[in-house]
Amino acid sequence: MWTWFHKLGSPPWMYRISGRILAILLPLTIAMLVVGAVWGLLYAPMDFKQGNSFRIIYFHVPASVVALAGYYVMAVAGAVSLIWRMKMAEVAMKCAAPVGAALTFLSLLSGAIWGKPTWGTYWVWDARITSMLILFFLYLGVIVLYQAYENKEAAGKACAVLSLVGMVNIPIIYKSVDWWYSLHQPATIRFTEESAMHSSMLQPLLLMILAFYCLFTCALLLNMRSELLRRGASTSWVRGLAVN
Amino acid sequence: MSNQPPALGAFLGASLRRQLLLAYRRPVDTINPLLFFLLVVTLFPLGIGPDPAQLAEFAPGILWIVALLASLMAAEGMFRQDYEDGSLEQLLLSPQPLYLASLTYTAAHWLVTGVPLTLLSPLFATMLQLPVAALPVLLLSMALGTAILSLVGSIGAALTVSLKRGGMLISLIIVPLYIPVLIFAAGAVRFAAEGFDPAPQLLLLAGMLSLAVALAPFAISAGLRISVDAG
Amino acid sequence: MDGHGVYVWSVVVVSVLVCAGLLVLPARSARRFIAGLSEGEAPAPQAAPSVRIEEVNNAPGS
Repeated sequence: MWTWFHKLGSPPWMYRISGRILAILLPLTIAMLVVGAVWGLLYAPMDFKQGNSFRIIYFHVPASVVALAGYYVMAVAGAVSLIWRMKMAEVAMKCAAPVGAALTFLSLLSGAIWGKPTWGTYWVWDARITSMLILFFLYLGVIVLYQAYENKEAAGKACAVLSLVGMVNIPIIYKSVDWWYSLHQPATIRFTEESAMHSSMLQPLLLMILAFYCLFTCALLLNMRSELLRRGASTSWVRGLAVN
Repeated sequence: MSNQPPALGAFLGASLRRQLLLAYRRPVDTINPLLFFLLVVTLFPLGIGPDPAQLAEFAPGILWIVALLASLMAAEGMFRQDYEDGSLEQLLLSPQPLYLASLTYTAAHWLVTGVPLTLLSPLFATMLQLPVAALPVLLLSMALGTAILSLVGSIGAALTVSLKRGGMLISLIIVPLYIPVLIFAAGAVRFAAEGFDPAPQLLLLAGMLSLAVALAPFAISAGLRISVDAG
Repeated sequence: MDGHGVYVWSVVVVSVLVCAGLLVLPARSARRFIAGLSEGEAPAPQAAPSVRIEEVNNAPGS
């Protein structure tokens, strides 16, 4: 019954299975991204308050949602690697960090660009933007800590501990930033999200969120494959790949 | 080999006394964060102008940012000496629970940096024109807040002690985790200065402190084990 | 797009770059690694080119 769990820990099995998953998931992801983007950019109705600039939501919100979820994926993988000493979970944790950081960066950049037509300035110390910036620092901390250790086994464990500490802190940080923003909120800035979205606007957004989750999975698997090859450079299964 | 290990209370007392004695023998390390506090507090009026009203408005934020940086500065060296001379390895091999032993390091760090910062903060607050009515709240927020900073800082120190250039790294790792403390502690002082009731923020700080006391030692002990194994 | 086009299209361009980078960089790094192996050289785990690619791979926002 537990064989699948043991197989999950085997690099050649993981490499083979991830290849098969990617063969299906990768084209699907790209198709969803293209359909979602075209739908959102060209066919969804215009927002009557923000005009066309609201279409940035189709990139900004999915990137933010998946960037935050990515941190939990990373931290849970770190916990699994600490508790069950599972190498594969450590590989997943290490590979999730740069993907999550890239999505957080995309979220910050698209948020800043969106800020210009909406608020008249590129950067506002809004609660959401500030939280995303802190999330970006949390990701960078994990990446830099991993790079700083020469002993990669210790690096994996240290990053697992750090990402768990970060996971406990994320709700506290988000709540405190919300409270801080509500205290200092300038009266002139109002975000229009209170108004419920019409379903014709919501459907492409949901499609894009799903597409970004799939994108995260694909990027994570691709990174893991590359890392598995590197870690197993001297083993027979990697050398066997070279022959084919 | 049949030596009984010392009783837990005696062991923890001895560990704490040792930390404090070491700090007492190296007074420069203790005084440095306080001097840093004074220096940076001096820089703010020079940077933003001497207008008392403006200074009073920024005082809660300034005091808390500087206290946070001073605590961060002191956290870096918390385990350094014991790591280098091997006492940390001895501690890991000892039969005493590492959870409590790591708490003594944190307690010593708080007694040596947090408490002096707390006691000196009214002086600096007066220099920055903070209203006298806010001083008790400042003292209380400093006492609670610096304890949280010490606990969280210990996690960063434990994870980076085996690294050659841990100094920059620990700030990147730890500063994001300090943010809730900064927000609520500076918020409490600001509320008190403006005549509102700061009790909710102080209670939240106390809650965060209880959470940190309960959970941080797990991360600190794990970090120490990883660092000693890596070195 | 009535004056907002610049903002919308620049977000689209950045998003496409980030998404493409997330998929292409690790795939290319793995392909190069296998290519390096089949050239018949002794596979060293810390070979110089692979380290360089890994660094590029880990750069934030790439």
